[in-house]
Amino acid sequence: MSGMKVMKGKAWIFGDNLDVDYELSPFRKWRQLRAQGASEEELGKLCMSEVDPDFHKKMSKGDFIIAGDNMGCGHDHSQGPEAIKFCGVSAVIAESLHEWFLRNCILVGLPAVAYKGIKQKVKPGDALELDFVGGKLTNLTTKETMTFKPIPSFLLKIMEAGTLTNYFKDLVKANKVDAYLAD
Amino acid sequence: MKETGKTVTEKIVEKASGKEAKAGDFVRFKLGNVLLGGLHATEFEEMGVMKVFDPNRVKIVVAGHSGVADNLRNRYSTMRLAKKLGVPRANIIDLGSGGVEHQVSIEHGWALPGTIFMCGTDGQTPIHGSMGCVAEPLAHGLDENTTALITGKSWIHVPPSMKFNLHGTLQDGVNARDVSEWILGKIGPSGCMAAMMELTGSLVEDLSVDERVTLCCNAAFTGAFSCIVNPDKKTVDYVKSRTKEPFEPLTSDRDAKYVKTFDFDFSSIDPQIAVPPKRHTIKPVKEVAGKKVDRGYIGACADGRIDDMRLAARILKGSKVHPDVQLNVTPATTEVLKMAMKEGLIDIFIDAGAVVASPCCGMCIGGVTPLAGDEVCLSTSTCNYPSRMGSADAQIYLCNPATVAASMVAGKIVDPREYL
Repeated sequence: MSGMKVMKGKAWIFGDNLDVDYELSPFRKWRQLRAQGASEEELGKLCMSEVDPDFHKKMSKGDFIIAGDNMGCGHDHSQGPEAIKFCGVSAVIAESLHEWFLRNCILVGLPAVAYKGIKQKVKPGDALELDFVGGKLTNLTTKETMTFKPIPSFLLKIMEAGTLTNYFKDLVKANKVDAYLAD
Repeated sequence: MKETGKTVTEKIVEKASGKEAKAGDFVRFKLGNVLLGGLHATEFEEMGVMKVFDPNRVKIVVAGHSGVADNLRNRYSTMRLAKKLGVPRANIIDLGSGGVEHQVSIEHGWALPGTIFMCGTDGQTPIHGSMGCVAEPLAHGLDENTTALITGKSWIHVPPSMKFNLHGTLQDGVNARDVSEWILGKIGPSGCMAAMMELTGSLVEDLSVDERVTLCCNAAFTGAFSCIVNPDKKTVDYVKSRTKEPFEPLTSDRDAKYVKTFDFDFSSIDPQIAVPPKRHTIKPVKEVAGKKVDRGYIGACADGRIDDMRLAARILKGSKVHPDVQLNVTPATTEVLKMAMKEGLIDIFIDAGAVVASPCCGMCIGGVTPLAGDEVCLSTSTCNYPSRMGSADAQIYLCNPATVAASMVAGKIVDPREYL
């Protein structure tokens, strides 16, 4: 495993209570596209499309989504974090995260951090640097550094493999299924 | 009883994991019962392992979401794979004896008090907290069902708890659904952010097992991790009458620590309604009274139980739905359907001109009789985001079954208390 690198990109700011099935990526459209065999790139265009249809055109690969309270609310559906990842967003940092959204982010390998006060500390377009493994976020524009509790190694392993599916298949290949969720 | 300063949630996680559980910790634990809406051979084949950790723990409801429409896709693969994996036939509830998976699961006593109950997978999973479980969905569409079933292992991000002391006696025409909507309106969509919503107090004690299920169903819309009711004699008697599986109910200590405590009295609340497009815009029904409606739905995990059928039938008895509207009544499960038939409720619905569909989630997810064009629908289901029940231009109002029934007779939104 290569380990997760430090990420750099610009900040895009969004509001509170973004629903996985609506704002983050419309459930029905996602299902239709998936059934038609759409590529990850095409699916990524649905990211935030209900809030800003041009988001996928305006952002650059590696940029960050900064959100308000209750990011990823609604259902336990995974297409929210998947759309964000496929769009090329490197991480989500929000005032608070819905727990099921956080679970799905971990399993699709999308770094997500809950940080109270983030919207006061980051403005649109600010350059950010995230050391997810080390629990450190730096606003390069304001030179301010914020710290957060890193996630444990047993979950980091899943994220480093890219997805839960990759992680598990690697275990099967190595004949180490017993090591599932081990440190 | 020895007081240890712990909540029911902390106790359950500690019991499942064998470790101390503090809010914010990521804790690994051994799975108990797991509820599934089907099994798919392709997922196990992709993983390259064709086994489950304990076939007895695997509980399946066939085609619970769209009923007959799901059958072709769901039943064939589920039945064949279940046999291969050794899942007992008694753990598979087929169409004909099933329905909405959560209610089927509760009726079979699969959600055991004092356990972590994982569902693969659905947003109304907190419903099982009504049985005194820590209920959480496995990730949807990410193979977590499969990896969990193969290994018997999972993890939980231990939530802090918020205590909701609910008191008072509900007026006629107001039910547990109104209580849950009122709470959502009061605390808002992030009012119980990332925390366990622990429901307690004299009102909760007075409610039936069915009503507590309704109360827990939509908790996630407050930002809650899940919802839980401390199991009491009613809970234990209910579960024992449904299963022979052993369980040990756990309850919060009197000196347990909460990040927040709310005290609410519900004696004077009106019937509530969620106004589209936002889930958390909650108003008393009387504030939107008079709005013309085209469609109605009584059913789903939130309000498809026998109490709901009885309440709707009291209003519809001897009446016809307005000629401009269509009402769909879908009992959540076969058990509910049979009780409703025995009590003559189905006759009342049919005589009123309602579509009576076979048990499943039905219209809640745009099944059976989906919404078209810019129709306005009044529903007891769970979600109102655009396109949830069909057309993206349709408007979905959510409320209790009495409000739907009365409004169907009137052809417009009305306060049901005038019709009881």
